[in-house]
Amino acid sequence: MKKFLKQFFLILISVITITIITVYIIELVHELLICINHLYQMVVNEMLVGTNYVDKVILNMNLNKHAA
Amino acid sequence: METKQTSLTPLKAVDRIQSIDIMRGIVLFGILLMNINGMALANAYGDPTVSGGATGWNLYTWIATNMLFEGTMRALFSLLFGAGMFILLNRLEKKGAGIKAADIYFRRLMWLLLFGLIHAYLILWTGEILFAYSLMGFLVYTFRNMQPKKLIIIALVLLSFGTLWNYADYEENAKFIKNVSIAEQFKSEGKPLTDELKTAQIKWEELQKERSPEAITEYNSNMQKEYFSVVAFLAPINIYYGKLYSYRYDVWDILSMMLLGIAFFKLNILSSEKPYAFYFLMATFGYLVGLTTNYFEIAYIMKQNFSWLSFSKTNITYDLGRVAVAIGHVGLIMLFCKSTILSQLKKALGAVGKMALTNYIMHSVIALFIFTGAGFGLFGAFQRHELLYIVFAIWIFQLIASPIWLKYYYFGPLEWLWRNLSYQKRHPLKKKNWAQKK
Repeated sequence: MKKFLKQFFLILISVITITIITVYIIELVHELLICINHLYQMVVNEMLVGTNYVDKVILNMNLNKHAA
Repeated sequence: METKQTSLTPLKAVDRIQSIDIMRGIVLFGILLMNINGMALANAYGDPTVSGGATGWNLYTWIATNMLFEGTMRALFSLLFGAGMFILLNRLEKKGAGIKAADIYFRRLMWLLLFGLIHAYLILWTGEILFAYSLMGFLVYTFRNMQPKKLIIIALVLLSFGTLWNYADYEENAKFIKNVSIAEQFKSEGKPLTDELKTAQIKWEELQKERSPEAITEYNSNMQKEYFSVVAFLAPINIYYGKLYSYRYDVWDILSMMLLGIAFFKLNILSSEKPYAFYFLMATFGYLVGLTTNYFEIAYIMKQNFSWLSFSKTNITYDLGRVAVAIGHVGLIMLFCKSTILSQLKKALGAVGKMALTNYIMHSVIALFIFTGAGFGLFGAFQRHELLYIVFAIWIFQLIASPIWLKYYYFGPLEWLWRNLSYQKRHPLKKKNWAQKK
């Protein structure tokens, strides 16, 4: 009985750990993909309206510098 | 501990228990019969009034599937999975595999975990069960040497916990509905709402919104978008299920049935070795208790006009009904296996069962192409009874394709892959190649 309980709780802890790690990894990947998607959409939108994305970022940075 | 690595090979065709394969084939078809509602309709797996139609043939379909199949097919699938994992472990341990048996067993489950994640997030089936089977399979390991009587008692205790939790949920939901009606009364009388009543009202509005035709239209349109948009749309739903289900349902619903499966196997019930009278009594008792319970549940829901609370209330007896019907199904299927009738059909069903993982994933792949925007984008386009035609077509296809595949190959493609990954060894797939090597 003691051996059974020891084995059971050891496996139970492993199962809980695996579940938590898996869910967290999935959430992390999910968030990462959302970020990549936002970035992608932003770049595509900039390209579609014909503005140079990098130039605009530099422009914004300069404006912020002046504002500061 | 002595380990004989040379003898550690997958089960050969002649060693397989035909009745278990036939049962697995039947259950796999039953699983599709239920899953198709979730694969093709928005939020309509349980409540038919949300989408898919709730009158005429749609209503009859809902009644018939809920009387005979809801929860019972999942129960039998879990039962067979438990028995299957026990057979694997038992066979390896008998061969003197020692610690290597546990190694193969847990590696098999870890790969199943990965298959489950791919199935849910990339093949896009939110009702996916392999992930849960993998986690519960880990726990099953500890119970492998237990006597059948003890296994049955533990399974019943686990099921009782699930029932108690359902009851606690119902009590909470009844209180919530009461608060909603008080809030409405207060509002009509112009009285201010307490925080509790405000929360109840907001929650109720959200629930109503989820079930509204506008929300269903939006859900359908999200499912009809291109593949990656559907992946993004379903990911939060999958994450939600992954977080909640493992402790709320899987332990009581799945693990209990896996343990019952091992007990049934140890008692030689699943190998159709018991006399006809035994299975006849099993079927009669199971159906008598199960169908009666299910009938009262369905009648109550319909009498309450499919109210939200009626579903919660009938959940209290849900496990009693579904497990009893599942036991009835075991009796009936074993009677079918023992009989000499329809031998060609049995052979075909056995082949479907042997390729259960491939066929199960195939259901989701077919659904992906029919219902989501990755294919025809027909999500929400069919009524509940019309989905039966698709189910029957898939049944017929798999009944024909599975025996043909197994004529030329030893395993289904996914079974082969799973075995190779579990044993860390490439097994022959083509029958001809194996014969040449020999």
